[in-house]
Amino acid sequence: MKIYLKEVSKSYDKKVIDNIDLNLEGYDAVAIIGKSGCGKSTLLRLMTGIEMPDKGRIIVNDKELNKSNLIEYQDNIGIVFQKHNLFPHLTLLQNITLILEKIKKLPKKEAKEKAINLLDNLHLKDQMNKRPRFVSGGQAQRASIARALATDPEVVFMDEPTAALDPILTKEVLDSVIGLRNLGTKFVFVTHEIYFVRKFADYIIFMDEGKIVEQGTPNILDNPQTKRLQLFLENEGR
Amino acid sequence: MKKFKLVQIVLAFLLYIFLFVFIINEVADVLDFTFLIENKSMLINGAMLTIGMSIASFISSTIVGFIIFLMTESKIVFLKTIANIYKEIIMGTPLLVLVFVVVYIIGVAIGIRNKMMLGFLSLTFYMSPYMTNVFEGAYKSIDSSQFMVMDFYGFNLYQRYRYIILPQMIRPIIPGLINNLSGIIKGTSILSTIAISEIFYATSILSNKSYRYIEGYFVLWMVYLIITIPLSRLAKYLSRQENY
Repeated sequence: MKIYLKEVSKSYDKKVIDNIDLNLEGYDAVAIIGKSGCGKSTLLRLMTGIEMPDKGRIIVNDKELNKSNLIEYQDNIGIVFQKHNLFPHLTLLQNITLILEKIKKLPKKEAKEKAINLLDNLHLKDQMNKRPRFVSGGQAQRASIARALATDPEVVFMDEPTAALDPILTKEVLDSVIGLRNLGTKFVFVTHEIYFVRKFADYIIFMDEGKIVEQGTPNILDNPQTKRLQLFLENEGR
Repeated sequence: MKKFKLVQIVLAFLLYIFLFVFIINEVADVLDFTFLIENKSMLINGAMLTIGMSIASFISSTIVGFIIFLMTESKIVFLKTIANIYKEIIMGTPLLVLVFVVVYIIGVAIGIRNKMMLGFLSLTFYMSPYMTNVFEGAYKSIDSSQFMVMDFYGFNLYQRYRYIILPQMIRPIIPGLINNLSGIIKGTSILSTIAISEIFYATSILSNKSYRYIEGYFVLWMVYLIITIPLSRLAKYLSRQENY
Protein backbone atom coordinates (compact mmCIF):
# COMPACT_ATOMS: atom_id res chain seq x y z
CA MET A 1 0.00 0.00 0.00
CA LYS A 2 1.34 3.41 -0.96
CA ILE A 3 0.52 6.13 1.53
CA TYR A 4 1.60 9.67 0.74
CA LEU A 5 0.85 12.79 2.74
CA LYS A 6 1.16 16.09 0.91
CA GLU A 7 1.28 19.40 2.78
CA VAL A 8 -1.05 18.10 5.47
CA SER A 9 -2.12 20.37 8.35
CA LYS A 10 -4.56 19.86 11.19
CA SER A 11 -5.64 22.24 13.94
CA TYR A 12 -7.80 21.93 17.01
CA ASP A 13 -7.40 24.87 19.38
CA LYS A 14 -3.93 25.28 17.93
CA LYS A 15 -2.08 23.79 15.01
CA VAL A 16 -1.05 20.20 15.84
CA ILE A 17 0.10 19.08 12.40
CA ASP A 18 1.93 21.69 10.39
CA ASN A 19 2.36 21.22 6.66
CA ILE A 20 3.69 17.66 6.66
CA ASP A 21 4.97 15.83 3.60
CA LEU A 22 5.55 12.12 4.03
CA ASN A 23 5.93 9.06 1.84
CA LEU A 24 5.55 5.65 3.51
CA GLU A 25 6.01 3.54 0.41
CA GLY A 26 8.40 0.62 0.70
CA TYR A 27 8.71 0.33 4.46
CA ASP A 28 7.43 -2.53 6.60
CA ALA A 29 7.63 -1.01 10.05
CA VAL A 30 7.45 2.74 10.41
CA ALA A 31 7.87 4.24 13.87
CA ILE A 32 6.66 7.71 14.75
CA ILE A 33 8.40 9.09 17.81
CA GLY A 34 8.45 12.38 19.68
CA LYS A 35 7.58 13.89 23.01
CA SER A 36 3.97 14.01 24.28
CA GLY A 37 1.82 16.53 22.44
CA CYS A 38 4.11 16.73 19.41
CA GLY A 39 1.28 15.61 17.10
CA LYS A 40 2.32 12.00 16.47
CA SER A 41 -1.02 10.46 17.46
CA THR A 42 -2.86 13.01 15.36
CA LEU A 43 -0.63 12.15 12.41
CA LEU A 44 -1.52 8.47 12.85
CA ARG A 45 -5.23 9.28 13.06
CA LEU A 46 -4.94 11.29 9.85
CA MET A 47 -3.24 8.37 8.16
CA THR A 48 -6.06 6.04 9.21
CA GLY A 49 -8.81 8.40 8.11
CA ILE A 50 -10.24 8.62 11.64
CA GLU A 51 -9.58 12.34 11.25
CA MET A 52 -9.43 14.32 8.02
CA PRO A 53 -6.87 17.08 7.44
CA ASP A 54 -7.84 20.75 7.42
CA LYS A 55 -5.37 21.35 4.62
CA GLY A 56 -3.38 19.14 2.30
CA ARG A 57 -4.04 15.71 0.82
CA ILE A 58 -3.60 12.10 1.85
CA ILE A 59 -3.00 9.94 -1.19
CA VAL A 60 -3.44 6.17 -0.96
CA ASN A 61 -2.45 4.03 -3.92
CA ASP A 62 -2.48 7.15 -6.13
CA LYS A 63 -6.02 8.13 -5.09
CA GLU A 64 -6.77 11.04 -2.81
CA LEU A 65 -8.46 9.92 0.40
CA ASN A 66 -11.92 11.42 0.81
CA LYS A 67 -15.27 10.52 2.36
CA SER A 68 -16.35 8.47 -0.63
CA ASN A 69 -13.37 6.07 -0.60
CA LEU A 70 -12.69 6.17 3.15
CA ILE A 71 -14.60 2.96 3.95
CA GLU A 72 -12.79 1.08 1.18
CA TYR A 73 -9.45 2.33 2.55
CA GLN A 74 -10.30 1.46 6.15
CA ASP A 75 -11.31 -2.03 5.01
CA ASN A 76 -7.67 -2.57 4.10
CA ILE A 77 -6.05 -1.32 7.28
CA GLY A 78 -6.15 -2.30 10.93
CA ILE A 79 -5.86 -0.12 13.99
CA VAL A 80 -4.78 -0.65 17.58
CA PHE A 81 -5.57 2.14 20.02
CA GLN A 82 -3.78 3.30 23.18
CA LYS A 83 -6.38 1.57 25.30
CA HIS A 84 -7.48 -1.79 23.97
CA ASN A 85 -10.96 -0.41 23.10
CA LEU A 86 -12.44 -3.89 23.03
CA PHE A 87 -16.21 -4.08 23.45
CA PRO A 88 -16.53 -4.82 27.19
CA HIS A 89 -19.72 -6.93 27.02
CA LEU A 90 -18.19 -9.39 24.56
CA THR A 91 -15.55 -12.05 25.12
CA LEU A 92 -12.19 -11.73 23.39
CA LEU A 93 -13.40 -14.25 20.82
CA GLN A 94 -16.72 -12.47 20.25
CA ASN A 95 -14.91 -9.15 19.81
CA ILE A 96 -13.29 -10.63 16.73
CA THR A 97 -16.11 -12.82 15.42
CA LEU A 98 -18.53 -9.88 15.57
CA ILE A 99 -16.38 -7.92 13.13
CA LEU A 100 -15.86 -10.92 10.87
CA GLU A 101 -19.47 -12.12 10.87
CA LYS A 102 -21.49 -8.94 10.91
CA ILE A 103 -19.22 -6.47 9.19
CA LYS A 104 -17.11 -8.64 6.90
CA LYS A 105 -19.97 -11.10 6.34
CA LEU A 106 -17.93 -14.25 6.86
CA PRO A 107 -19.90 -17.45 7.61
CA LYS A 108 -20.18 -18.10 11.35
CA LYS A 109 -17.98 -21.19 11.34
CA GLU A 110 -15.27 -19.61 9.24
CA ALA A 111 -15.30 -16.46 11.38
CA LYS A 112 -14.90 -18.48 14.55
CA GLU A 113 -12.07 -20.59 13.15
CA LYS A 114 -10.24 -17.51 11.95
CA ALA A 115 -10.71 -15.69 15.26
CA ILE A 116 -9.47 -18.69 17.27
CA ASN A 117 -6.48 -18.96 14.99
CA LEU A 118 -5.60 -15.30 15.47
CA LEU A 119 -5.99 -15.51 19.24
CA ASP A 120 -3.88 -18.65 19.26
CA ASN A 121 -1.11 -16.85 17.34
CA LEU A 122 -1.09 -14.25 20.08
CA HIS A 123 -1.16 -16.93 22.81
CA LEU A 124 -4.66 -16.07 23.93
CA LYS A 125 -6.57 -19.23 23.07
CA ASP A 126 -7.04 -20.17 26.72
CA GLN A 127 -8.42 -16.70 27.48
CA MET A 128 -10.71 -16.37 24.49
CA ASN A 129 -13.98 -16.89 26.35
CA LYS A 130 -13.26 -14.22 28.94
CA ARG A 131 -14.49 -10.66 28.75
CA PRO A 132 -11.79 -7.93 28.59
CA ARG A 133 -12.06 -6.94 32.25
CA PHE A 134 -11.21 -10.48 33.30
CA VAL A 135 -7.87 -10.58 31.48
CA SER A 136 -4.72 -8.54 32.03
CA GLY A 137 -4.10 -5.25 30.22
CA GLY A 138 -1.46 -6.93 28.08
CA GLN A 139 -3.78 -9.77 27.12
CA ALA A 140 -6.56 -7.33 26.25
CA GLN A 141 -4.17 -5.29 24.13
CA ARG A 142 -3.00 -8.43 22.35
CA ALA A 143 -6.63 -9.31 21.69
CA SER A 144 -7.10 -5.88 20.16
CA ILE A 145 -4.10 -6.57 17.93
CA ALA A 146 -5.78 -9.85 16.94
CA ARG A 147 -8.94 -7.90 16.12
CA ALA A 148 -6.94 -5.46 14.02
CA LEU A 149 -5.44 -8.39 12.10
CA ALA A 150 -8.77 -10.14 11.63
CA THR A 151 -9.65 -8.23 8.49
CA ASP A 152 -6.33 -9.17 6.83
CA PRO A 153 -5.15 -5.57 6.66
CA GLU A 154 -2.30 -4.49 4.43
CA VAL A 155 -1.05 -2.19 7.18
CA VAL A 156 -1.74 -2.12 10.92
CA PHE A 157 -1.58 1.29 12.58
CA MET A 158 -0.83 1.29 16.30
CA ASP A 159 -1.22 4.33 18.51
CA GLU A 160 1.03 3.83 21.55
CA PRO A 161 -0.32 0.34 22.19
CA THR A 162 1.68 0.00 25.39
CA ALA A 163 1.02 3.45 26.86
CA ALA A 164 -1.37 2.10 29.48
CA LEU A 165 0.72 -0.93 30.42
CA ASP A 166 3.41 -1.65 32.98
CA PRO A 167 6.90 -2.74 31.77
CA ILE A 168 6.18 -6.49 31.98
CA LEU A 169 2.94 -6.24 30.03
CA THR A 170 4.61 -3.84 27.59
CA LYS A 171 7.25 -6.44 26.81
CA GLU A 172 4.56 -9.09 26.41
CA VAL A 173 2.70 -6.98 23.83
CA LEU A 174 5.81 -5.82 21.96
CA ASP A 175 7.16 -9.36 21.72
CA SER A 176 3.89 -10.37 20.10
CA VAL A 177 4.17 -7.52 17.61
CA ILE A 178 7.73 -8.56 16.74
CA GLY A 179 6.42 -12.07 16.11
CA LEU A 180 3.76 -10.70 13.78
CA ARG A 181 6.23 -8.67 11.78
CA ASN A 182 8.15 -11.83 11.20
CA LEU A 183 4.94 -13.23 9.69
CA GLY A 184 4.87 -10.38 7.16
CA THR A 185 2.42 -7.88 8.66
CA LYS A 186 3.26 -4.22 7.99
CA PHE A 187 3.05 -1.67 10.77
CA VAL A 188 2.97 2.05 11.32
CA PHE A 189 3.16 2.81 15.00
CA VAL A 190 3.48 5.59 17.50
CA THR A 191 5.55 4.74 20.55
CA HIS A 192 7.75 5.97 23.37
CA GLU A 193 9.62 2.68 23.57
CA ILE A 194 12.94 3.55 21.91
CA TYR A 195 14.45 0.10 22.50
CA PHE A 196 11.48 -1.36 20.61
CA VAL A 197 11.91 1.14 17.77
CA ARG A 198 15.54 0.11 17.41
CA LYS A 199 14.61 -3.54 17.32
CA PHE A 200 11.54 -3.31 15.16
CA ALA A 201 11.37 -0.30 12.86
CA ASP A 202 12.92 0.05 9.42
CA TYR A 203 11.97 3.71 9.13
CA ILE A 204 11.72 6.34 11.86
CA ILE A 205 9.91 9.66 11.90
CA PHE A 206 10.79 12.07 14.69
CA MET A 207 8.25 14.82 15.27
CA ASP A 208 8.25 18.00 17.30
CA GLU A 209 5.66 20.78 17.48
CA GLY A 210 3.58 19.34 14.66
CA LYS A 211 6.46 19.03 12.21
CA ILE A 212 8.71 16.21 11.08
CA VAL A 213 12.13 17.17 12.36
CA GLU A 214 14.09 14.09 11.26
CA GLN A 215 13.25 10.94 9.38
CA GLY A 216 15.23 8.00 8.11
CA THR A 217 16.50 4.53 8.93
CA PRO A 218 17.14 3.54 12.58
CA ASN A 219 20.64 5.01 12.18
CA ILE A 220 19.19 8.45 12.93
CA LEU A 221 18.88 7.33 16.56
CA ASP A 222 22.64 6.74 16.77
CA ASN A 223 23.55 9.81 14.84
CA PRO A 224 20.92 12.53 15.41
CA GLN A 225 21.30 15.51 13.13
CA THR A 226 19.23 17.91 15.19
CA LYS A 227 19.46 19.17 18.74
CA ARG A 228 15.81 18.35 19.28
CA LEU A 229 16.18 14.64 18.50
CA GLN A 230 19.36 14.54 20.57
CA LEU A 231 17.50 16.07 23.54
CA PHE A 232 14.57 13.75 23.06
CA LEU A 233 16.79 10.68 23.09
CA GLU A 234 18.61 11.93 26.16
CA ASN A 235 15.32 12.50 27.96
CA GLU A 236 14.14 9.04 27.03
CA GLY A 237 17.33 7.77 28.64
CA ARG A 238 18.72 6.09 25.59
CA MET B 1 -16.54 -1.40 63.97
CA LYS B 2 -19.09 -3.58 62.17
CA LYS B 3 -21.00 -4.06 65.44
CA PHE B 4 -21.10 -0.31 66.00
CA LYS B 5 -22.50 0.21 62.52
CA LEU B 6 -25.21 -2.40 63.19
CA VAL B 7 -26.16 -0.71 66.45
CA GLN B 8 -26.57 2.60 64.62
CA ILE B 9 -28.79 0.98 62.00
CA VAL B 10 -30.96 -0.63 64.71
CA LEU B 11 -31.21 2.71 66.53
CA ALA B 12 -32.32 4.45 63.32
CA PHE B 13 -35.06 1.86 62.82
CA LEU B 14 -36.14 2.18 66.45
CA LEU B 15 -36.37 5.95 66.08
CA TYR B 16 -38.74 5.55 63.13
CA ILE B 17 -40.84 2.97 64.96
CA PHE B 18 -41.09 5.28 67.98
CA LEU B 19 -42.16 8.25 65.84
CA PHE B 20 -44.64 6.08 64.01
CA VAL B 21 -46.27 4.71 67.17
CA PHE B 22 -46.25 8.16 68.77
CA ILE B 23 -48.04 9.82 65.85
CA ILE B 24 -50.62 7.07 65.47
CA ASN B 25 -51.24 7.18 69.21
CA GLU B 26 -51.73 10.95 69.14
CA VAL B 27 -54.18 11.06 66.23
CA ALA B 28 -56.35 8.05 66.96
CA ASP B 29 -58.16 7.30 70.22
CA VAL B 30 -59.45 3.97 69.06
CA LEU B 31 -58.41 2.52 65.75
CA ASP B 32 -61.03 0.46 63.98
CA PHE B 33 -60.23 -1.25 60.73
CA THR B 34 -63.49 -3.21 60.50
CA PHE B 35 -64.88 -1.17 57.61
CA LEU B 36 -61.81 -1.98 55.56
CA ILE B 37 -62.01 -5.69 56.32
CA GLU B 38 -65.71 -5.74 55.46
CA ASN B 39 -64.98 -4.11 52.11
CA LYS B 40 -61.76 -5.94 51.37
CA SER B 41 -62.89 -7.05 47.92
CA MET B 42 -63.20 -3.39 46.89
CA LEU B 43 -59.70 -2.74 48.21
CA ILE B 44 -58.28 -5.80 46.49
CA ASN B 45 -59.91 -4.77 43.20
CA GLY B 46 -58.47 -1.28 43.69
CA ALA B 47 -55.01 -2.71 44.38
CA MET B 48 -55.24 -4.97 41.34
CA LEU B 49 -56.27 -2.03 39.18
CA THR B 50 -53.37 0.02 40.54
CA ILE B 51 -50.92 -2.76 39.74
CA GLY B 52 -52.44 -3.42 36.31
CA MET B 53 -52.51 0.25 35.38
CA SER B 54 -48.93 0.65 36.65
CA ILE B 55 -47.59 -2.28 34.63
CA ALA B 56 -49.39 -1.18 31.46
CA SER B 57 -48.17 2.41 31.87
CA PHE B 58 -44.68 1.18 32.68
CA ILE B 59 -44.49 -0.83 29.45
CA SER B 60 -45.97 1.92 27.28
CA SER B 61 -43.89 4.72 28.82
CA THR B 62 -40.75 2.60 28.42
CA ILE B 63 -41.53 2.14 24.72
CA VAL B 64 -42.40 5.82 24.19
CA GLY B 65 -39.38 6.85 26.29
CA PHE B 66 -37.12 4.70 24.13
CA ILE B 67 -38.51 6.20 20.92
CA ILE B 68 -37.98 9.70 22.35
CA PHE B 69 -34.44 8.66 23.32
CA LEU B 70 -33.72 7.49 19.75
CA MET B 71 -35.08 10.80 18.48
CA THR B 72 -32.88 12.82 20.85
CA GLU B 73 -29.83 10.86 19.64
CA SER B 74 -30.82 11.27 16.00
CA LYS B 75 -28.72 13.34 13.65
CA ILE B 76 -31.95 14.69 12.13
CA VAL B 77 -32.48 18.05 13.81
CA PHE B 78 -36.25 17.95 13.18
CA LEU B 79 -36.67 14.70 15.18
CA LYS B 80 -34.28 15.89 17.89
CA THR B 81 -36.22 19.15 18.29
CA ILE B 82 -39.60 17.38 18.43
CA ALA B 83 -38.26 15.08 21.16
CA ASN B 84 -36.69 17.89 23.18
CA ILE B 85 -39.83 20.03 23.07
CA TYR B 86 -41.91 17.03 24.19
CA LYS B 87 -39.55 16.41 27.10
CA GLU B 88 -39.54 20.04 28.19
CA ILE B 89 -43.34 20.33 28.10
CA ILE B 90 -44.06 17.10 29.94
CA MET B 91 -41.32 17.47 32.54
CA GLY B 92 -42.50 21.01 33.27
CA THR B 93 -46.06 19.86 33.91
CA PRO B 94 -47.23 18.38 37.24
CA LEU B 95 -48.96 15.02 36.87
CA LEU B 96 -52.23 16.35 38.29
CA VAL B 97 -52.30 19.13 35.69
CA LEU B 98 -51.33 16.71 32.94
CA VAL B 99 -54.20 14.39 33.87
CA PHE B 100 -56.66 17.26 33.48
CA VAL B 101 -55.05 18.35 30.21
CA VAL B 102 -55.30 14.82 28.84
CA VAL B 103 -58.89 14.31 30.04
CA TYR B 104 -60.40 17.69 29.23
CA ILE B 105 -58.30 18.87 26.29
CA ILE B 106 -56.51 16.04 24.48
CA GLY B 107 -59.22 13.47 25.21
CA VAL B 108 -61.94 15.81 23.93
CA ALA B 109 -59.84 16.79 20.89
CA ILE B 110 -59.21 13.22 19.78
CA GLY B 111 -62.59 11.92 20.89
CA ILE B 112 -61.56 9.54 23.67
CA ARG B 113 -64.00 9.40 26.57
CA ASN B 114 -62.85 6.21 28.28
CA LYS B 115 -61.46 7.21 31.70
CA MET B 116 -59.17 4.21 31.96
CA MET B 117 -57.66 4.93 28.59
CA LEU B 118 -57.20 8.61 29.46
CA GLY B 119 -55.60 7.71 32.79
CA PHE B 120 -53.30 5.28 31.03
CA LEU B 121 -52.36 7.92 28.44
CA SER B 122 -51.69 10.49 31.19
CA LEU B 123 -49.28 8.19 32.99
CA THR B 124 -47.62 7.18 29.73
CA PHE B 125 -47.10 10.79 28.67
CA TYR B 126 -45.92 11.79 32.11
CA MET B 127 -43.40 9.00 32.66
CA SER B 128 -41.95 8.68 29.15
CA PRO B 129 -39.46 11.60 29.44
CA TYR B 130 -38.20 10.12 32.70
CA MET B 131 -37.72 6.83 30.88
CA THR B 132 -35.85 8.75 28.17
CA ASN B 133 -33.54 10.17 30.84
CA VAL B 134 -32.78 6.64 32.04
CA PHE B 135 -31.89 5.56 28.49
CA GLU B 136 -29.78 8.68 27.96
CA GLY B 137 -27.85 8.06 31.17
CA ALA B 138 -27.08 4.49 30.12
CA TYR B 139 -26.11 5.60 26.61
CA LYS B 140 -23.70 8.19 27.98
CA SER B 141 -22.04 5.56 30.15
CA ILE B 142 -20.72 3.86 26.99
CA ASP B 143 -17.12 4.90 26.45
CA SER B 144 -16.58 7.18 23.45
CA SER B 145 -13.70 4.98 22.29
CA GLN B 146 -16.23 2.30 21.37
CA PHE B 147 -17.93 4.69 18.97
CA MET B 148 -14.54 5.31 17.39
CA VAL B 149 -14.13 1.55 16.85
CA MET B 150 -17.65 1.28 15.42
CA ASP B 151 -16.92 4.18 13.06
CA PHE B 152 -13.65 2.61 11.99
CA TYR B 153 -15.20 -0.78 11.18
CA GLY B 154 -18.20 0.83 9.49
CA PHE B 155 -21.01 -0.42 11.74
CA ASN B 156 -24.37 0.77 10.44
CA LEU B 157 -27.02 2.21 12.75
CA TYR B 158 -28.79 -1.12 13.28
CA GLN B 159 -25.52 -2.96 14.00
CA ARG B 160 -24.44 -0.26 16.46
CA TYR B 161 -27.60 -0.56 18.53
CA ARG B 162 -28.17 -4.29 18.13
CA TYR B 163 -24.67 -5.54 18.91
CA ILE B 164 -22.92 -2.83 20.89
CA ILE B 165 -25.09 -0.11 22.38
CA LEU B 166 -28.25 -1.88 23.58
CA PRO B 167 -26.52 -4.90 25.18
CA GLN B 168 -24.43 -2.49 27.21
CA MET B 169 -27.40 -0.31 28.13
CA ILE B 170 -29.49 -3.10 29.65
CA ARG B 171 -27.69 -3.36 32.99
CA PRO B 172 -27.44 0.37 33.73
CA ILE B 173 -31.08 1.06 32.82
CA ILE B 174 -32.65 -1.58 35.08
CA PRO B 175 -32.32 0.34 38.40
CA GLY B 176 -33.64 3.51 36.75
CA LEU B 177 -36.57 1.68 35.22
CA ILE B 178 -37.46 0.11 38.58
CA ASN B 179 -37.36 3.53 40.24
CA ASN B 180 -39.65 4.85 37.54
CA LEU B 181 -42.04 1.93 38.07
CA SER B 182 -42.17 2.95 41.70
CA GLY B 183 -42.97 6.51 40.54
CA ILE B 184 -45.77 5.21 38.32
CA ILE B 185 -47.31 3.20 41.17
CA LYS B 186 -47.39 6.32 43.34
CA GLY B 187 -48.59 8.38 40.38
CA THR B 188 -51.68 6.21 39.91
CA SER B 189 -53.14 7.83 43.04
CA ILE B 190 -53.63 11.01 41.01
CA LEU B 191 -56.00 9.08 38.74
CA SER B 192 -58.51 9.11 41.62
CA THR B 193 -59.23 12.70 40.56
CA ILE B 194 -60.90 11.37 37.42
CA ALA B 195 -62.77 8.69 39.39
CA ILE B 196 -60.69 5.69 38.33
CA SER B 197 -61.30 3.18 41.10
CA GLU B 198 -57.68 2.32 41.87
CA ILE B 199 -56.59 1.74 45.47
CA PHE B 200 -56.47 5.42 46.47
CA TYR B 201 -59.94 6.09 45.10
CA ALA B 202 -61.38 2.90 46.66
CA THR B 203 -59.92 3.75 50.05
CA SER B 204 -61.13 7.35 49.86
CA ILE B 205 -64.69 6.20 49.11
CA LEU B 206 -64.65 3.77 52.05
CA SER B 207 -63.15 6.36 54.41
CA ASN B 208 -65.70 8.97 53.35
CA LYS B 209 -68.54 6.57 54.03
CA SER B 210 -67.34 5.58 57.50
CA TYR B 211 -65.59 8.84 58.47
CA ARG B 212 -62.55 6.75 59.40
CA TYR B 213 -59.91 8.64 57.47
CA ILE B 214 -56.94 7.77 59.70
CA GLU B 215 -57.38 4.02 59.32
CA GLY B 216 -58.12 4.33 55.61
CA TYR B 217 -55.15 6.46 54.70
CA PHE B 218 -52.90 4.58 57.10
CA VAL B 219 -53.63 1.29 55.34
CA LEU B 220 -53.26 3.00 51.96
CA TRP B 221 -49.88 4.35 53.03
CA MET B 222 -48.77 0.90 54.10
CA VAL B 223 -49.91 -0.66 50.82
CA TYR B 224 -47.83 1.84 48.83
CA LEU B 225 -44.80 1.28 51.04
CA ILE B 226 -45.11 -2.51 50.85
CA ILE B 227 -44.93 -2.22 47.06
CA THR B 228 -42.40 0.60 46.63
CA ILE B 229 -39.80 -0.15 49.34
CA PRO B 230 -38.87 -3.59 47.93
CA LEU B 231 -38.68 -2.03 44.47
CA SER B 232 -36.42 0.74 45.75
CA ARG B 233 -34.19 -1.78 47.55
CA LEU B 234 -34.03 -3.93 44.42
CA ALA B 235 -33.03 -0.90 42.33
CA LYS B 236 -30.30 -0.01 44.84
CA TYR B 237 -29.02 -3.58 44.88
CA LEU B 238 -28.91 -3.78 41.08
CA SER B 239 -27.21 -0.40 40.75
CA ARG B 240 -24.41 -1.70 42.98
CA GLN B 241 -23.82 -4.65 40.67
CA GLU B 242 -20.76 -4.14 38.54
CA ASN B 243 -21.16 -3.38 34.91
CA TYR B 244 -19.07 -5.14 32.28
